[in-house]
Amino acid sequence: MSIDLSQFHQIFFEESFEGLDVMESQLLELQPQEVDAESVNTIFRAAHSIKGGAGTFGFMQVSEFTHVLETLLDEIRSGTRTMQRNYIDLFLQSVDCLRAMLGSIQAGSEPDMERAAALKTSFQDILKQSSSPGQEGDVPAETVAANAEDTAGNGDGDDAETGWRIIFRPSEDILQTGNEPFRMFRELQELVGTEHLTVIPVTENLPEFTSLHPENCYLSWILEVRSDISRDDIASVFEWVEDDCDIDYQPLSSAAVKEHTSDTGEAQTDTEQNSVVDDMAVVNAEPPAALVPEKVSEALSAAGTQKAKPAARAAKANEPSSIRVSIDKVDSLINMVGELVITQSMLGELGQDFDMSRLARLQEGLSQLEQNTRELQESVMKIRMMPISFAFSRFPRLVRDLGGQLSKQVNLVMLGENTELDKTVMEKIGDPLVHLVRNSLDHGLETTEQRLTAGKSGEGTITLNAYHQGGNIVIEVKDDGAGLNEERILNKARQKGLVPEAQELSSEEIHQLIFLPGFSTADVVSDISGRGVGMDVVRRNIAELNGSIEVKSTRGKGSTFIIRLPLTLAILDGQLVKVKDETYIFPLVSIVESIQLQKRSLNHVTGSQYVMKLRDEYIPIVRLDELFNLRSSDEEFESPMLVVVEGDNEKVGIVVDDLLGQQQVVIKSLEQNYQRVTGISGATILGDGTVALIIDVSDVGKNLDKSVKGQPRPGQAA
Amino acid sequence: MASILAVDDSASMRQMVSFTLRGAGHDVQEANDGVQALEFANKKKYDLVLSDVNMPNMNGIELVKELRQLADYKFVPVLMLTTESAGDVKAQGKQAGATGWIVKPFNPEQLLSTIKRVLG
Amino acid sequence: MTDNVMIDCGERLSIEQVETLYANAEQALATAGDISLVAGQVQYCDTAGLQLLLALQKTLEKTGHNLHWQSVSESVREISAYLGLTNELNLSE
Repeated sequence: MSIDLSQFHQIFFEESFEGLDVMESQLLELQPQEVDAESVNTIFRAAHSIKGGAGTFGFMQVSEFTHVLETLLDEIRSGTRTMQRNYIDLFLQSVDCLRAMLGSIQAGSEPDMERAAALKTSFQDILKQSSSPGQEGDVPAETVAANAEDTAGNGDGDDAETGWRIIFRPSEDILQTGNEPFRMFRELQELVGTEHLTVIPVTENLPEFTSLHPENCYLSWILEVRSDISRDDIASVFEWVEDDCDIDYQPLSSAAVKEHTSDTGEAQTDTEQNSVVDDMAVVNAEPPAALVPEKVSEALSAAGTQKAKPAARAAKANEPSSIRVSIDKVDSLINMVGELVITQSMLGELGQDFDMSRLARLQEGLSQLEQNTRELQESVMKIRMMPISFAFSRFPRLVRDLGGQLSKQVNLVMLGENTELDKTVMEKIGDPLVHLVRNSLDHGLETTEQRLTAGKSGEGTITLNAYHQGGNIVIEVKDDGAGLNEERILNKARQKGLVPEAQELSSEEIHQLIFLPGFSTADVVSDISGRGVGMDVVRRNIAELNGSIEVKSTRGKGSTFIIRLPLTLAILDGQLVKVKDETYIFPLVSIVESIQLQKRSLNHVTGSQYVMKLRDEYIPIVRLDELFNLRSSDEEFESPMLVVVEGDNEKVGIVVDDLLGQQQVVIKSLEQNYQRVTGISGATILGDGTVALIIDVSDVGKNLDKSVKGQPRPGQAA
Repeated sequence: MASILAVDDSASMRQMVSFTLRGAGHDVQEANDGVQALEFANKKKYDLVLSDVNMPNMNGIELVKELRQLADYKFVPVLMLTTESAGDVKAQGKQAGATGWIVKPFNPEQLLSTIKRVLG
Repeated sequence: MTDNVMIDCGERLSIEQVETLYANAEQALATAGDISLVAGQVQYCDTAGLQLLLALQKTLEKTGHNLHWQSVSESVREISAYLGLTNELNLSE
């Protein structure tokens, strides 16, 4: 029977990547001074599983590489070696290396072995310089090879024999461990053929019936094998019991010279040191392999040809993303569907012969239905929710590596790791977060000396904090560094013409300048945060998620970046507004306030652009009816409302006819169903079946200038 | 043919083992670790237990010890799935009452032929 | 043949059953006669099972009695052959 092992590859990759994540997080927590045995065990176990799986599924490069780090881990685990900082570094590099190797294999390409080879050498160097010389470390490399030759030599000698007399005296308890002599004899018989094996029982130790312990084994046997089978092949039959049985092998040959060789063979296998190696030899000479060589080679070649094919398939299989859902969540869904079914049948029954006397019951049923639906919706959304620890998990490593590169001592604190977030949002927030953390480390935190001079502790702290606030998730990236240098930021902004020379700005306004396109404060663009990506990109990425970012900073104390994101991209808390006969929706998060529009507070600026003084600031005013060509600009509103929204840190006042209710709406993509429309982020279907468009607040703000300059107006299909 | 309890914390190994065994006509129950295996063993008597050694919660050696305490499992063959690097694991396993071992990595054919040593 | 006691080996003549079988055989031995084995239904047997019968037979023989096979299944013959016990147990035809 030939089994296509490639079908297990995908799951092997998945669990190996998981195992590597576990190794990494455990390694990062490891303190060389006080090594937690359970952590080392966990790391070892992960490495061990990867090695075993890789070997089984034919990824020898992976299993060989994992073997060396496993050996070192095993020494640490068993206490023959103590953990050192440089080991941890080496292990971490190996995790990266393995990740890359497995990634290449999964994608169907050859892994780059250069890095693995270098790491392997480092491990072997460590293993060589053992505390007690000449121990384990060297054994795999040299003794194995030597021994393999030995056994091969032995085999040659054995093959020339005409047979063996095996005196087999099992221990009394052999039967109790499930080892059955008849199966061993049967296997031996299959190996050599019925006619070449004689089984002679020795019953002299069988006691009187009355003193017999029937579960013990009192019998022993003399087995005569007349065949040119090697001793090793016979030994493989007894390998499980050889330690607790007496087994003597006597060659059934007259050639005295040969007997010599077999003696040495015996002496060797008996020595303790060689027993490990002996086992390895046994693996290589597994009896079935010898029995049916064509089958094995068939299997091997099949495994070989499969290699490329399944890898390519695996890469494809990777595409549709899946999600792991805890059974609890599924169970609660099933419960809710159950309730829904009950409500439905109740309503159905009610509808059979309805009269007004049952109106109260109908209303009750409908409100129950509403509750069921809401709960069901919440539960379904919960399935997409994952703890933010998935996004946070990469930071311990990142901070450790960067801190090392920058020679800064950094302590990373992560809070609210169990805060849940929509999977898609999570995937998209990863990169911006990385950028912010890099930025905090590079620009935010001072060097150790600077910190000490400033009277702070030498070790800087970066805090990642996630929590829910209303319908949003808030993620803070906080450092206790120098804070933003307002003077420098302002100068830079003036230099770049982003702020007019004369204009004075408040601290807060200065802080927000760093999010402007083309702004970078670092004098020298460092490798770490200066990868051509600025804060403007971070802000744009976050805006794409319907989120916002702001920064708070105190000179000398540090900065905090605050990201606000909707919990999900699929549902929006919306404010419904009316413009002429159309209904539009504003994302509730973007609304600052809604006020009755006072005509007299409007001022003309340029051309048709109105601005309005709202408390201390002037905000541009946009007429939605005009923007979407619903009404000409000279037509008057009856009693207009002004919705003040904020997108991209700019306030815009949008004039509408009326405010309707607030409700949650399910976002339907316009791009998928129609095409991208400027000023519109999506659409939804309202309870009465009509379609309402969702206003893209930052888009409307952005297009202000353009509309003033007479460029294509938003609201027209792009 | 036989009912087999396959214990491994690695899903890929578990799947490979049970796929192979099922293909040969055996009934297979999978368990993630020793604790779960013991739960299954308490409910039903399997003809053979195949267990990985390195597992969280309860490892293979502990599992054999526990199994041998159960009346039903006093003599049931228990095979350990082990790696060549784990030399003394075999001795520990034997001492705990394991019947034998299968050395990783192994291919499906080796698994089936090894199982024949304790079944039928 | 009043002193011929029958022992039913059941379907499994193996290590899990040997304690029970041992107790039965001990009782049978106490009657001090020949013993007949019903082993035609044995689906599975092993070393422990056959070893018990062998010990029983040897003890019986010492008192001048015999162990008879009233029926023998294929499994009993097969396993006895593997263990080289066919002659010892008087199973050769």
